[in-house]
Amino acid sequence: MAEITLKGASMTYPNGTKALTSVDLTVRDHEFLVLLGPSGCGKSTLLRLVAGLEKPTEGEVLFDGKVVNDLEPLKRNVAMVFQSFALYPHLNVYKNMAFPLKSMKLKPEEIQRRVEEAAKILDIEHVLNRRPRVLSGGQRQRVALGRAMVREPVVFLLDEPLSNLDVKMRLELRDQIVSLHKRLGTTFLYVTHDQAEAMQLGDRLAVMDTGRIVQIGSPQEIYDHPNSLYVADFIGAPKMNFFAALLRADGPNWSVRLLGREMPLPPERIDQDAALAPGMRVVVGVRPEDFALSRREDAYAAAVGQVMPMGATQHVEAYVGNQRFLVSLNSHTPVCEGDTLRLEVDPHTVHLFAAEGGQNLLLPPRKGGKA
Amino acid sequence: MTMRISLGSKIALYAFLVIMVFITLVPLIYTVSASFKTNYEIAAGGINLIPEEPTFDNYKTVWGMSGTTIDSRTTYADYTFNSLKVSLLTVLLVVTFTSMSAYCFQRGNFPGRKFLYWLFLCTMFIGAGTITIFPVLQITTKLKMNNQVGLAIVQFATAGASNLFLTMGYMKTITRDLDDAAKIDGCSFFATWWRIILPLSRPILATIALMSFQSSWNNYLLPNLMLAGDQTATTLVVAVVRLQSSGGAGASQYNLMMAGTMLAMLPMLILFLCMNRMFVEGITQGAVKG
Repeated sequence: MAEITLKGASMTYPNGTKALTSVDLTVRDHEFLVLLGPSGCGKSTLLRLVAGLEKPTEGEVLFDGKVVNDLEPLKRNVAMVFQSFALYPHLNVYKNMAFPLKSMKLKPEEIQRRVEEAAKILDIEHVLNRRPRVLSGGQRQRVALGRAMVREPVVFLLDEPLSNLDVKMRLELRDQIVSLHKRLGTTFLYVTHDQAEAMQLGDRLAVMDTGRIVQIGSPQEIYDHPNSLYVADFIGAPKMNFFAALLRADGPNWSVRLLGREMPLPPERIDQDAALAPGMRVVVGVRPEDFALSRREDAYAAAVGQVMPMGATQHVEAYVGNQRFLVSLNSHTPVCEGDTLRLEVDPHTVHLFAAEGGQNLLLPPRKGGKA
Repeated sequence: MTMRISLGSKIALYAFLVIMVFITLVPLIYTVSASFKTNYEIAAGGINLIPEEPTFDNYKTVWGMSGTTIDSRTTYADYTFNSLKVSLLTVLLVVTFTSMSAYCFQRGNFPGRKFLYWLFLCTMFIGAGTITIFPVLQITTKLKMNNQVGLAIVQFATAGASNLFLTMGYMKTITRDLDDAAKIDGCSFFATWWRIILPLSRPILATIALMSFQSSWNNYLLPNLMLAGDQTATTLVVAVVRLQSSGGAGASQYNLMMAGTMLAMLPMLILFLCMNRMFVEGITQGAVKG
């Protein structure tokens, strides 16, 4: 087990590509931390720095407070699982799993014990004599997990391990990874661009953008209070609706004009440190599920466009004037294209971002986060 | 998806292929036929493929030949063994060093890598049997390497670039994730080559091994010149050509030469038939994978 720290870690490749810019991050002991971001944001590079496959051009990587910049991967005792599985095609499953243990010069009986134990946990005992090419994608990735497990590493590094699998297998393995983490209690650092995966797996998420970590927090914290327009846009499916607006002040009370109506902002969420100014250009964010059907007189009258059934919910395209937005409703709500819906928004659920700079201007809502 | 071909095109295509096969095979068929003919029948000319009086005597004579003008003590079997020694040594050098250098160029990161690679590739267009033969002979003479080992080294070196090119192309298709996984699993740069890249490069290495064996086995110019000082060390192909004058006094023994050629060809033919699948796989895999 280990606590992993990156201090001002930067990485510039020899061709001049800047992959990471002064990253500070601590992955706590036993924690499952997910690095989330779009392709090319530097999350895999960060993982490679921790693994020891790359050296930071600036800054330090620390394991339990010790700088490991110059330490080989084997001596760091990390295990890595790759998107492409990276199983050795010329070796059978047993030999693949035993490969790192041979490098560690363990006794044959110890190697056998560890491989068989991991195979049992991952339910791949019956394929130990087979070559990787005859296995299914799910089995291959389980072998890759097994190869990582047998080393009893201080940290598991997983680089988009489920991206090459079909949906069913992905969900199945997701559960298996969660239980593996619980069982082993090891530190997990997991890279993905799939937010659903990140939300389910991570104790904490670190959202990345162009080589920087832009927000770290529990999945619920990040979902409930994205600190920037970028994070708000990235987290959530369907995406958050954004409305351009101007900030208004009436004494100590602030409000915005949303879909033609004045919406007061909850005073307890006003950040006194944020430089709010009357007339300031802002972006109001409302998640599709934060629109609710209403019987109130002053509710928004929204014309229904396309209706997209999603199973438990339905995504409804709504229009107020020319403004288009998405509303997420229970699938049993009777709604058809051409209908008019009466909608309301609880001001406590809205997000407010500066139009310039994109930072969140409100304080987090007072809610319980993820366990 | 299959392409539809009109009947006329089909006929033209088959005609072209038949002509190509004919042109390629005629010398071989003639050699097979002539190896069963008497020298008199060959000298009389004619293009009959079926010998008038088929005979195995040529083979018997060639295989058991000793005390001929080639050398008084060395038999045909000895020359076969010489060829085998030189060819196997060439193959060993080619496979070991090509695989290592291709790995270094493909996966290594060192200053001057690109420059050295292009320098290497430039030699692909220089034939060892033409432009470089004189300097090569001078160097090997100065180094006292006009022997079988020297011959194998020169044969390996002159084919180095094209083998390197093919092997690098193949290694490019092996995902770098495997190198990373090996590094994580405790392999050094060398150990990654030995435990991962080398075994995975087997198809292409088998291909270049076969090609090197074939070109060494069939090489005439280099062994003829480099091993001229020691007639007992010379290779089969050189000996086969010399069979022509084995009758002495200018009498050309074409029948023996043809039988000798057939015997010289046989090991290559067997080798190719055994390794045919692997050979084609190695050649094509680099092109279609990844």
